[in-house]
Amino acid sequence: MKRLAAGPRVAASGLLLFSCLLVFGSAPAPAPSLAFPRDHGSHPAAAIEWWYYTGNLSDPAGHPFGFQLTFFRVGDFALAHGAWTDGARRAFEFQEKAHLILPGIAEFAEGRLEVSNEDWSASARDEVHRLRLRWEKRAVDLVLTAAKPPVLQGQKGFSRKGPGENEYSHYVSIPLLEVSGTLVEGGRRSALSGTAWFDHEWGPGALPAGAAGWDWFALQLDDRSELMLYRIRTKEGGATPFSSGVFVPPSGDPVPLRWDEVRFRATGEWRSPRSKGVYPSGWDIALPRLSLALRVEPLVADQELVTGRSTGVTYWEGACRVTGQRGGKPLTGKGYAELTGYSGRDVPGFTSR
Amino acid sequence: MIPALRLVVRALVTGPAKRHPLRLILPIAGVAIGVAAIAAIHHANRSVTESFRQAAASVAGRSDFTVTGPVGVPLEALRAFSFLWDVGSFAPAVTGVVVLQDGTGEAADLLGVDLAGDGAVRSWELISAAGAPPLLRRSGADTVFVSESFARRHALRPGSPMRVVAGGVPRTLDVGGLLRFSGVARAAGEDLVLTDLLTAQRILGRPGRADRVDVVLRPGVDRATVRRALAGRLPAGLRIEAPDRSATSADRMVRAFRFNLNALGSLTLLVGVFLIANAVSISVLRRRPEIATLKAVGASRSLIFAVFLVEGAAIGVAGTLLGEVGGVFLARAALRAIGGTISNIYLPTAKIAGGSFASPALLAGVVGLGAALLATIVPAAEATRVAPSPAMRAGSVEAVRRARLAPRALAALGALGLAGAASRLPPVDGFPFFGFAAVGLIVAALALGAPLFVRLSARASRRVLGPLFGAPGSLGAGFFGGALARNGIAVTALAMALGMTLAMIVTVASIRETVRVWVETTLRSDLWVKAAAGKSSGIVGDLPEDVVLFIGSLPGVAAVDPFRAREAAFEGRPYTLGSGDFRVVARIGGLPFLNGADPRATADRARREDAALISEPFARRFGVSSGGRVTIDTPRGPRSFAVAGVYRDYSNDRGTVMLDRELYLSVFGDRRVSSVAVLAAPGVDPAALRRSIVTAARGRYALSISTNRELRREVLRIFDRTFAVTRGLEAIAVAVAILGIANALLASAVERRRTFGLLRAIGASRQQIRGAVLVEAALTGLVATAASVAAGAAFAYLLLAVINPQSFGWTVSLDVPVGTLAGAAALVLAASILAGVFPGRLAAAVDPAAALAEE
Repeated sequence: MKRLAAGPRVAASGLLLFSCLLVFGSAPAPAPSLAFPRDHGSHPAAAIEWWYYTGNLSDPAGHPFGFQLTFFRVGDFALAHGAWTDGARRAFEFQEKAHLILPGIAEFAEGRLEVSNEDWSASARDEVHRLRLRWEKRAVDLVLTAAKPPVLQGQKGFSRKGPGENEYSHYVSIPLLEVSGTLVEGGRRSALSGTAWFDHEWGPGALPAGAAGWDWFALQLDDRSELMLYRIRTKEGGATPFSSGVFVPPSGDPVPLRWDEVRFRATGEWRSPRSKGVYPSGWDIALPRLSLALRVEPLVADQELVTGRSTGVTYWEGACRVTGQRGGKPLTGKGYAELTGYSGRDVPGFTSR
Repeated sequence: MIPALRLVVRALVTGPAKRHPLRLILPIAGVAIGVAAIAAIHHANRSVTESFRQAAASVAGRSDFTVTGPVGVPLEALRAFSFLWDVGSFAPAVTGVVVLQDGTGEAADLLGVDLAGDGAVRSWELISAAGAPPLLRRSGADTVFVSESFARRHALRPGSPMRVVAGGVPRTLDVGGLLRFSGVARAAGEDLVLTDLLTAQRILGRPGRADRVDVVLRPGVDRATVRRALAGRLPAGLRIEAPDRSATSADRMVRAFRFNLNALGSLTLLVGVFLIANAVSISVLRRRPEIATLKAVGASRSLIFAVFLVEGAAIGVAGTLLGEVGGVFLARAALRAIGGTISNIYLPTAKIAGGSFASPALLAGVVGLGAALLATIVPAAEATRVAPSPAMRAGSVEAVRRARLAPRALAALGALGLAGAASRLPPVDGFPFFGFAAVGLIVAALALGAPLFVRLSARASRRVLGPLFGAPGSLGAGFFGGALARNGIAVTALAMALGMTLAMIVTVASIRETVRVWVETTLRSDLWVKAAAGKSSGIVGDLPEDVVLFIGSLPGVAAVDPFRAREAAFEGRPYTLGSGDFRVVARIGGLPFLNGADPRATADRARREDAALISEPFARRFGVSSGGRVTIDTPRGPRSFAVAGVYRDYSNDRGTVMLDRELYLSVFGDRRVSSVAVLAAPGVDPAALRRSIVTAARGRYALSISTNRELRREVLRIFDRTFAVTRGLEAIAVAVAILGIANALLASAVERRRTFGLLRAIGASRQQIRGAVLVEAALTGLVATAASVAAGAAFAYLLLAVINPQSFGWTVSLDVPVGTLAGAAALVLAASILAGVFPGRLAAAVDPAAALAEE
């Protein structure tokens, strides 16, 4: 999920959209083993499923950008969120889409990664993913090449979110994709390059009882290692035992992490003028076992999504800059953080459109 | 000039009007009734059109164009649309009908859309919802959304169950919330039941298809280019249409019906026009001495003309104002009647809401005033020709008239000739404009010829009436012939109204008898099964195919004939595409072919050769005959079929193409049925069989089953209800015309004061005077009735042989209900004699001394 995060985000929407939960309650038995590209494709038997791309890019002038492109499948419905962060202009913009799953409108292929919603799409052939994002005044086309193999989160991709029977998901990440592409904005075309993270998660979609939200981080460090962490917050502000993470070293097998070995502290906060939610903004994260100490700062303070039309969940998902050191050696990095449950507006707002 | 005009108006118009207000009341009433009828009918027609447009808009939303197909649009075909996301958006919709099982028996349009993503196309919003996020509710939940007013009417709340029949199956839907349409669709959206696309597909039994896809382009996008691009990508069989085509075709469907109403409304006004002409002409006659005097003192011709025009205009204005007021009330009644007919016969879910009254009021006002002025021109022109000196003496008018009878007779003959020619011309754009023109020409001939009839019949009758009734008889005949102009107009008005009434009686009786015979021949089955239709008498929604097997397997059923009918269009013109089991026709016959061909052999041949059978209205509308070919839009593109025969069909005027069910299924793959005809096994009582079908179907299908006899009765009941409006209008026209006779006689009585005085002075009794006036009234009625029989025969010919086939495409065999016609004529005759009673009393009351003193 995004840890739960994503998961939760979806899970949250799923929970809040309780009808979906009730309806799609029967979960598939945990798959014995995942195979690709088959399991990059859709799993219609799962109540909830999403494909999640986030990444940090820059143009030839060195201007930093962040993007998020998410496709959700909730029962018969297809939702999508797309966000664009312009670090130089300190601007953030997002759009959302919601449809019934219908040919030519919103589709999820089985057996391969090929998803679309209106004029947004993502597809993958072998290691190469292609993304298409359209806003009213901006067109982004990206080619992402997986630089590392997929990471199966949890137990071979079976990721528990809580103690309950339906509190799990199947969870696969690609921790590093090299990105090249183009941005067309205001009639100007510029080249883009950078790195991205990919998550794919599917399951019954239940959020553990008592969870208030989650914080999720996917950080890509310039020594070609990646760190993913998520904390499922209790209503009291602590972390549930199902909070966890993974460290992907430059080479070799991923290292699963427990939350209790993470030292985690927010360094600032940001108050949303829209939702009035107060989000943490900036973190110190340390993992003594890995001799890793990092400071994470948002690229732009306001990267909040108020998704009234689709999931109805208000959350913060944004590009971040990382500084710190590993084993005494300074390093930098980029990443994405996702924060839910801070606005008090997780309850879907689409009872009226 | 202006002071002079005022003076003259006072002398010729306002003065007399004050003295004899009664004389103005009748023409004013005539105009008022005509204006009211026109306003009401126009209002009803406009409301119908507007309601159709709004209903279409509530479905079409903001779309720039709409894609449909012969059996809808397969969902896979939506991929062809995906390029549109770069220039706009598109939204599929499923449309159907549900019948509420809540005592109202109303039918409502069901609209199934992509609830979450539909916002770009249709303007609706949810204003309250039950439970949680309705837009992402699982499609299997049978959740629907309705407007507040709909919920109120059917006692529904968010969360309450809504029992309906959908696709022939009883279902309980769940009201998920209330919704509101905005923009042009606001009113019509009130009657929609909105649901999720997949839910709609499921409850209507139409999986995998949408009925339409609406396309909305962004501002600035070139529509033509996109339309071409889309056309190039669409699979065969799908077509791009204007988004409101459904409104256009619904409107076309009822256009012939509305057109006839308009014609009848115009007839009423025409009678009013004659009454005005009558009144002004009487004014002119009465005031000849005054006119002559005014001329002698220097009044110009144009001044005289202007004065009478003012009088006509005053009558027109007063009548129009009154008529507008009456129109508002009449409009309500007309709307109810017309709306009822439309939802009963044409579109079960149509809700006809009253539209604005502004435009109908304007139209009726312009027509009413224009007609009044037009009616005034001829008598006013006559007034200008009054010579100063001879006219100062009474009685010289008719000499002028007599001199001009011959050219009038010639003109009348000319009008008749033109009418004959017009009756041979083909319809224009599917409508019998020339047929109606011929009706107008007959009316003109009647008006031109009337003075001639009056003179001839006065001459003839004097010889008979003198010996028969003595002095009153010959006096009355003399009065009748003497007032040539006045009585000519009265005769024309009555003959026209009565003639049209007689013609309508013949037409309606002929069509009814034709339909009755056709129903007897065609309805061979014992039972007729359709989806429960609530209060509508037509077919509402359809049935799943398994109902055919279900009924066929019940004991006591000998055979079942599944019938399918759906709307189709050829070159933008709607018709009905049907299918039935031709083997059943081949076995039991019952399809009457135009050329008398054997139904069994023809049906069998059509089945073997994959040929179509077409209805007579289709043959006429599209100019296809037996042995020709018809082209039908199929899911794989247009396909042509040979026509094996043309059969009589009075059930629909759009035209029907019938294919054998097997062929239809292979071409369209549409397995649902519209109705099922059932033959009972020998010895099985149909009523008992119906009971056992109903029992067996309980909980599984919601059926409405008619026995053969009920269906026959129902057909005629619908027929009679359709013509109820027509009958009401005829009655009004005749009543107005009879008032016209009373008016003419009243004017005579007033004008002939001197004559009556003289007659009394030389010894005539009051009874003799009264008798003479009654004889004149009877003669007027008699001549008008005789003329109306001639005119009525011509009208009936035009209606039955020209207008009806051209607008409905039906061959009707003539049926003359002599008794009804004689009754109507006798009634009118009696009424016209009655119309002489009051003027007769007035005439008899003349005091000889006073009248002579006036001399």
